[in-house]
Amino acid sequence: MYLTKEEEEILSGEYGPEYQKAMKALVKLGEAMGAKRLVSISHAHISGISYRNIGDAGLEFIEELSKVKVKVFSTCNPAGFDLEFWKFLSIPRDFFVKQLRIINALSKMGVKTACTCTPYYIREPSFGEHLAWGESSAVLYANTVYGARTNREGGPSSLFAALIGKTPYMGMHLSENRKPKIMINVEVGVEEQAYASTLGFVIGEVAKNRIPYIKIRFSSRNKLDLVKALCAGVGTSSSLPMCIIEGVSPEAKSTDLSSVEEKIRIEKRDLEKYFTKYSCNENFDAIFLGCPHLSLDEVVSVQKIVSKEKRKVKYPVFLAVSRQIYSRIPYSILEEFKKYGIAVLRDTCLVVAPLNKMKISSVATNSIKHAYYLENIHGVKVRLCKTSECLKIALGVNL
Amino acid sequence: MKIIKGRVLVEGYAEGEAIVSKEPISFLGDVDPKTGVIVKKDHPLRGLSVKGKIFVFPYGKGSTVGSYVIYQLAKNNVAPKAILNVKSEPIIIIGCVISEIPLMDSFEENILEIIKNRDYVIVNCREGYIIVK
Repeated sequence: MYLTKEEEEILSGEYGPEYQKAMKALVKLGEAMGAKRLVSISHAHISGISYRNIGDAGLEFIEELSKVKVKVFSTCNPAGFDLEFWKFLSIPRDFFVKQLRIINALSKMGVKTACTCTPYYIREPSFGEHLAWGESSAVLYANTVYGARTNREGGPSSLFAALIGKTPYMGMHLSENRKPKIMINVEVGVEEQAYASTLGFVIGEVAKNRIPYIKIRFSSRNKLDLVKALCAGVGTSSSLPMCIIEGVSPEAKSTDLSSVEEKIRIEKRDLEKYFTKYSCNENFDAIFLGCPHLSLDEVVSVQKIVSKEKRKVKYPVFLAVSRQIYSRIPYSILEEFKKYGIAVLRDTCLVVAPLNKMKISSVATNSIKHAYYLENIHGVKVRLCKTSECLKIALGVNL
Repeated sequence: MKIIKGRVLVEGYAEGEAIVSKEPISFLGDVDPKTGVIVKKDHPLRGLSVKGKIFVFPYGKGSTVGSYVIYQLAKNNVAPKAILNVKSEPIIIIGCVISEIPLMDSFEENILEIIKNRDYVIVNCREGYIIVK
């Protein structure tokens, strides 16, 4: 791999062992994957920061690097709890302290520690811009919606890219790898998050590692919220970094479809089996909305439903948002949520939280990504249903 | 005895008994970071530990937190001595780089057919070959 003089110096340790470690890992990775050089990035998004997932070893690893600063604008993924609300969530003291050490180490490095899976609500990427993002749903959203360029980085590689300000020039950074291989005609109108995320899951399953060109009809004004849910579904069932969606992706118009090898259709019945699979029907410990973290529009649509009913929820309801969106929610809405028993969480979601200690073992959600990981990682029983049905269950009414 | 050449991704030297998974491995979920035991339901190697073994599998998959799981295995002294893949991908490469676990891939023959569980394997990740005894 070609390295500039400065990159060589970092690699030989002239800037200290932390930068050397980061550079060495990026070079090894680039060489293994056939990159010819590194490319400068404008935003790193660091995943793998929940103490629940990375443990003491991950904590020590990040702390050891925290003597030095990141070189570019950097954000990070959700942590194990809301940093200001943790006491109410039965988070054990030890977990709290260790999670906080991870956050403090990142903060010391200059990472913006508003912990969210929606870094595009903090800083919108521009077309063609190079990024190094972890978090599969955000990677898909950046490539698909903005035409920005990022591979699916892992926890350590996104952290190394933040420290160096560069990433290996390969994969999604190169135009020749951004071509569709499969055409997908979606023959079901998509108007709501649960179906959008499940559609994404099915797309990931059929496309596997082939970038799909998707023809789809969104029957909602908030198209991008549905694309966000779709991206999260794709990222759950596949390792795809990108989709090309007609009418959404900036690259769709100029896409040459001659690389397409197969065409398939997805119908309503292809989605139904997942609603049967995740159909737990009992007393719920939590109703969860916010995977990926909610937009302001999504928060407002929840408020519209609950304000009609004017009653307290039967089961605890958690909405998850980024700090940026939280700060834009009108005070009156927050007060109303409080009155009805709806908690708005920042910095976190249920997948990265210590659920066994919070005594949560059955959840209703509108996100197939949450359904999938809650069942697989936490052994939680799940009901996957529309946003309106989630709230109907919570309020104990027919909406 | 058989010598097979491959590509060195993380340098080093190791020898020991092989543990061979024909299925790709998702370190997050499939392997317990505290003990090194394979815990995935229905996996043929379920209950066996990768500790001190030469861990052979096709490639990594699943969550990118897997790199940190490899690192946790190393810190807890239950990591494999070396990893041999048909084709390594970034989760395994980064995991082995930060944990200093010798890693090789792209062998001239199919290691999944040649290496059997408990075979004694010498991994020369300096000169780029393995010896299967």
